Amino acid sequence: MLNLGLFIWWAISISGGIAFLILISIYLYANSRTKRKESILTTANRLRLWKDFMFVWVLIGLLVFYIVSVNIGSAIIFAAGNIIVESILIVYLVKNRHEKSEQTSSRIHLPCTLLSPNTVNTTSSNEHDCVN
Amino acid sequence: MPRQAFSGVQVLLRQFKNPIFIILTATAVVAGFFAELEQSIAILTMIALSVILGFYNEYKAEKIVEDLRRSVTFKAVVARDGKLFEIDSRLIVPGDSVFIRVGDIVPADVRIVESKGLEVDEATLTGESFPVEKTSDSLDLQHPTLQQLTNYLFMGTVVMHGSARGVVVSTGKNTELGSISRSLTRPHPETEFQKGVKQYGTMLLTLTIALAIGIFALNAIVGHPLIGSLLFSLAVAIGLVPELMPAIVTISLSQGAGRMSKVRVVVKRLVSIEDFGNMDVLCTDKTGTLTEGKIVLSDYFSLGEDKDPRILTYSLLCNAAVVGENIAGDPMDIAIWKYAIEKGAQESVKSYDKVDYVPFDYQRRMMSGVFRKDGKFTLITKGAPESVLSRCKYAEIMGENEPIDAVLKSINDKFFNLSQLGYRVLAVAYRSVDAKPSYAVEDEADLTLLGFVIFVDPPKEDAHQAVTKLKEIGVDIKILTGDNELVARKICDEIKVPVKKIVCGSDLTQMSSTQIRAIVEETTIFARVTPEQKLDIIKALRANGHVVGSMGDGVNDAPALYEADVGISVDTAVDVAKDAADIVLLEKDLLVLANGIAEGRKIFGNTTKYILMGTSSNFGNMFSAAAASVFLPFLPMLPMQILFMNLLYDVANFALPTDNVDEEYTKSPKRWDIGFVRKFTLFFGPFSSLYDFLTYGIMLFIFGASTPELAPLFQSGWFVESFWTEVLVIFVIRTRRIPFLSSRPGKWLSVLTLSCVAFGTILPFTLLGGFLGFTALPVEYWILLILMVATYLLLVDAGKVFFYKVCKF
Repeated sequence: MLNLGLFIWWAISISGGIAFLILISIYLYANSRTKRKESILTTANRLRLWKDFMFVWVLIGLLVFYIVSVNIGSAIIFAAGNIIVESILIVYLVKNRHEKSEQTSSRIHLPCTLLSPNTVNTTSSNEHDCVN
Repeated sequence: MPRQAFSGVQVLLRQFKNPIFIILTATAVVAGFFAELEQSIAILTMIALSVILGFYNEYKAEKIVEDLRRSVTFKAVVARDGKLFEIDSRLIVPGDSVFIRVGDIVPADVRIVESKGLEVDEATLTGESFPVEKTSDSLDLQHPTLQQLTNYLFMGTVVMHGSARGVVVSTGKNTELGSISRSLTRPHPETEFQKGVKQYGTMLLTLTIALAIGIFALNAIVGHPLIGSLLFSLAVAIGLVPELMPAIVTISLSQGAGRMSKVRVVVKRLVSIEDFGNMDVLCTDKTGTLTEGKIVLSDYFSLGEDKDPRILTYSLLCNAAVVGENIAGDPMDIAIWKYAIEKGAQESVKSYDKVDYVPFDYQRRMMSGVFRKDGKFTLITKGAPESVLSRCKYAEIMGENEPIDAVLKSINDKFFNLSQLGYRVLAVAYRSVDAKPSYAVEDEADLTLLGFVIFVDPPKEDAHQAVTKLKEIGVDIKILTGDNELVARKICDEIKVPVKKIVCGSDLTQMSSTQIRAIVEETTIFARVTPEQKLDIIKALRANGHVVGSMGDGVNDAPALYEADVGISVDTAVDVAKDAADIVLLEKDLLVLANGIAEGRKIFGNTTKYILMGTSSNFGNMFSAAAASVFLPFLPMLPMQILFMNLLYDVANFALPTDNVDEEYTKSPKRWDIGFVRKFTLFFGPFSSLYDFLTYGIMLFIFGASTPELAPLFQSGWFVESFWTEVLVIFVIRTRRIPFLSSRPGKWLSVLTLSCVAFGTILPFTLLGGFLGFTALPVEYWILLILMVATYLLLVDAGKVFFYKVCKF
């Protein structure tokens, strides 16, 4: 027997957690864009924005799925849904694997002190490195 | 020398000074007072376990460091049975006759028997900031103060000028320094890492207090029992505080120091390890680092076509090396003696009687001695050619004295050519002097140049490899040398070090600090620099935002070693340089240094991991606990359950200092950034909360644990989920690699972490679990838990892709 008052409290809490996470993500993303002096509004960036926020879309999807499955109270639906989400995340991680390691290796050989002005202008991640 | 020795009692007392200990004790007292006896006993047991765990680990860590410190020895030259020996200064006994020279830290309280130009820095003992003059003269004083005892040298003071011989009157605790129990070590400024950890502590403390007050107030408002709410809010506060941080930092640093000693790097000041790893500029001298450091006298020559043997004899006479069983002293003076012994020329000095001498100093860059032979007195000067030449009036060519100005050009050309070939050159000059009781710097005038002695110090075979390796790991090298620019340039060419710019000491004297800050960035070689100029260069680099390491082994290097973020010296350095250094290399080798830096970065990496994990998963868990306590009709976890989970999590983290660090992480210097830690907490903390909320949902609405009677089921479910996520996320957060499985964790971390997870899993089925208020969980829950935790770990890994794209560290 579902306790409705408790369920609403729970749904609000979990939604609040995800909303907070999404807001933080937007803040961090906008913050890094400001540092790179890039416009978010160009057409090319819109696609990138979609890709960069992939895990946020997963989060929103998860929220809906979790609330629905818990509301139904079905362990089987919950388990099946988790397996689907895991598959999506594994594909996402495998796709990002190569890109990440390249990014790391290009960055590590260029410490702040050795960067030429040109390098700083063309490689935004390095610019950020110096800030840190 | 007295050093604050570490004691087990102090380590034990430190465990009780921890604020967490105070909060935990208060919680136990509150619980006991309000008849929650079981909780009180459980908390007290946890306190005892925490203290034992912390004491054992910190004691072990301190022991490692103490042993390392002891391995750095200070040497003293003593005369025993008519022979000279260089011994460990701790082996000196009263009655020993000791020889003291520039750069020595006086090894005992000594009555001066003989001295020359002796000036001593007694700041350690008396607070006097200027060097005081010392002589062997007898004193007629009734109750002299330390300052009045000018014929005594006191243990721990530093010889700034001159030399002396004396008799040891007391050692160790019986010395003046021992009796007032002052540490010789000057206080070092806080390192960047220490400041960072403090900032982090303040941030967390604020958060903890706010959360604890907030939880208590909210629970009270919604009508939960006050005592239960108070205990719960205290437990949540404890859960948030990374109480293990001091222990993890100490263990991490000391174990790292142990590993560094295996690559022949001894850490004297533990906290400097992080700065050592983060160093991005290394200021080093040339001798022994880029060159072999084995200075050999290659030849000597006169200004004419002959080869006057007096040049060698005069070089032997005007020489500060202590010749006994071994030859000790300045490398060039030693090289002269070795050459003379090899050629059988050492007997030539026997017909001379030493009358007096004027010791070497870094301003004049030369030394002089007065000798009597056949009733005639001769002052002999040996030193840097430009210094000696400026005091010469004549040059002796084929037995004839020529005015120096007439031959100066050809002498300079010769000097230039030799320097270009990489030789180090010393000029030898002399003049007849009248007999007088003592001689001074003013007597070094109107000299006659006799000739030159030339030395060679070949570049190290692996110098190029070492410099390249340092460049690869992001450390820029600057050479600060007392040698001339030609010699420095030649060495750099030979080892293929690209020289961007050369600046001489004489150029620096005309520059403002702003100008120095501008030129230090693009300059590779600073030639003919004084100790003060070395200091200016390091200050300028630090002002430009670099983490600067300074490497040196001479008395002139000591100020720079103190000023730099990391002072690096070698085991063969003069005492004052070793004392000033944070790190001592057992081998003066840049490759050894490069390995040490990589080790320092690993330590920084592992310490940072603990902080990042503590802030993310702990914060997330405690935040969700706080939220749940408001809307649930019972506590989501009992205070003693939270504390037990905290203890178990701490045990899992103890292996963190032994964890592997990804190779790419050690390839560039890292800087402590509290902003990054904050962003990390805000981003990854909610992931943990999210899955806690999800567990609440499952327990409440799938397993129906929504009534106070079923609270143990709810609490058990959340305990296991919370513990699994909190501990297993270590494997995701410890690396930046995507997916996290592509980075291999340390063996002990894996073993300990998985063992803790296994223990946490079976706990609800055990007697202890029953005592803590847990109950067995249904099989379906375990299936859902595995799936849910797998999703959580993958989601955090996916979050890393986003996070490291927008936040770099």
